[in-house]
Amino acid sequence: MSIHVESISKHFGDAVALDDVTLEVPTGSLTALLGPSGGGKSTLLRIIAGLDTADTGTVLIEGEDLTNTPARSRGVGFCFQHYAPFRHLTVRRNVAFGLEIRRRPKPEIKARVDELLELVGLAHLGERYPSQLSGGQRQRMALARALAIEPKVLLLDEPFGALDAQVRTQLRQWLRDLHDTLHVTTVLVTHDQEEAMEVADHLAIINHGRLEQVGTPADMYDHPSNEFVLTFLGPATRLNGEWVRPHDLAIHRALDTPPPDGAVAGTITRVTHLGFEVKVDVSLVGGGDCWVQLSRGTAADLGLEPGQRVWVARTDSAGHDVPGADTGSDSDANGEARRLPSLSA
Amino acid sequence: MNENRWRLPLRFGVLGYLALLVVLPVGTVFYRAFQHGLGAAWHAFTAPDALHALWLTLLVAAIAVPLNTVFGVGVSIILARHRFPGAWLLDAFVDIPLAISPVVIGLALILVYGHTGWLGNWLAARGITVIFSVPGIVMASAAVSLPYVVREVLPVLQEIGTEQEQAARTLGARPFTVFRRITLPNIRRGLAYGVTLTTARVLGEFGAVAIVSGAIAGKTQTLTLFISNSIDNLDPQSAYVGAVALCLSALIVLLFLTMTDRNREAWHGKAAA
Repeated sequence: MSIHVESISKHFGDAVALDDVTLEVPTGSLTALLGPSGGGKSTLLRIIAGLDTADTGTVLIEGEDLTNTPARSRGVGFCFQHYAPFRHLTVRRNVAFGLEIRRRPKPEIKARVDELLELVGLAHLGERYPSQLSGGQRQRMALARALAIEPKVLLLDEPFGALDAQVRTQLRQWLRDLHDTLHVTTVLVTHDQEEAMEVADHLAIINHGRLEQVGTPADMYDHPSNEFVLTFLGPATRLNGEWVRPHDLAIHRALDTPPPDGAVAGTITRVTHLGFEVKVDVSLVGGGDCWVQLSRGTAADLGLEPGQRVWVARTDSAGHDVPGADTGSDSDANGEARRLPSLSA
Repeated sequence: MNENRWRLPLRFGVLGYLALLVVLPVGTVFYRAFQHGLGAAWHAFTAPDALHALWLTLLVAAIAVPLNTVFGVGVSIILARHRFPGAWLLDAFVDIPLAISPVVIGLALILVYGHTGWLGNWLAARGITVIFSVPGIVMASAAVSLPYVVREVLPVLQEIGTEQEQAARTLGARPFTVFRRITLPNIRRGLAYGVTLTTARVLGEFGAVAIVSGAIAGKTQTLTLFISNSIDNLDPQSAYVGAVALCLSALIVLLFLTMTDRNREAWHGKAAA
């Protein structure tokens, strides 16, 4: 395990930022700390880096207890949401910073900086100042700067949060590729589940200062340990009082007889076309609403329109066994979840 | 079109104001100083009391300005980077010298450090004279110019935030390295301006210094006191020359600071355009 945090708790005044969080990050993985804003994930990252201190608990990096070690001696690379460029230094000097203060020989620094600028695609911008770069370029510079000190782990705090959508998508892919090249253990904080699922090979979901669930994206999407994880990781709707993904539902026209097993009757209230996807809202007979996600082709074949009477049924038999989902309470569910699956090394 | 109509009157208004208040009076002083030729001006300038006043003024500035620079940066960092109860009190205290009259500050210093004052008494017993002596003048000058560095540096520190410093820490920098290589370059402009204001104030201070120094010619007379004294003694030539010397020393400091600052302009993106 590259990073091991054990029973970390942190309070800001009366507010609980982290509540007894234990997490292991496997060596060489790209792990995303995912959760809503203000859930404590950035605080956890900053505690790992030594930029914040925990009230209780320990931080181990590569087996070494670094709980009381200052940030400068932890050997971690850290990237900030707003890049934190050294505004008075050129791109080249920014990247060289960690090596310069280690008093490495000049030729070595130059070679290493050249190599890193090449790696992040900024070789032609070395003499520019950060104010002359775009947001995406600044973040790549910050990444090169963090990598220059050959960190044991790389910590990224909402690295794409301040970028516009298109650049964000490009940089995600780029980061994924970079990680596949370098294999530096990386922890990424994000509130964007799509980003987390696309980039990371492991997810740790944090909400209200508690670790909800850890696992691979696919595993957690299909087997969420509680209602929060289910609804946070992707679209979810209720049928017969059970949570289900809207793309796991099918619509049968009322004319079809006999109705499929477990089907619920209802009336279409709205059909929304979202490009390839079509969203169908249905008012169910027993009370309540659900929505169904269909492909454009399927929706066209069915010829759906508001006001039609239809059957709604599951397409798969698996479903989601969500503890506590029926009661709707989340405190019990969370307590349960934290003891559920942990990362497989 | 409408805006153009105001452009000329505005320009002349501002220039006229400046001319009436600054250019004309200061120009007249320069003219008067050299009215009777360079020889007369030089003679007045090289008089022992005049030279001593210039030397003392520069000496006081050389001590008080660095003191207030270090103090000002220190207070700014404490106020911007640390949270502690009573911070607002420190913040308010820094401004006191701006709010109250320099004469009152001078008087207060005498009360504490004069030979009847409780600290002055203790110091006098150890052979250290503060009031009517150079230490008193330095203290008065430092006291009145206390806020300038803080008021220029603190907003810059708050504006740049802490992320650059945190980034430097994760890259392995010790606290002093972070200050020298990250914080200092970032506050350099504000600091330069604060130091300029401090210097100008120290060079030009009259009230507080007049009270604590005793204005003994050739001993505790700074340039401002020398000018005032010369006028009282009906020696206008000396007063004008002293005034010119005061202006020139301030000008030299200003030029020096502007030049050191110019080298750092690029990273603000001005060279980028």
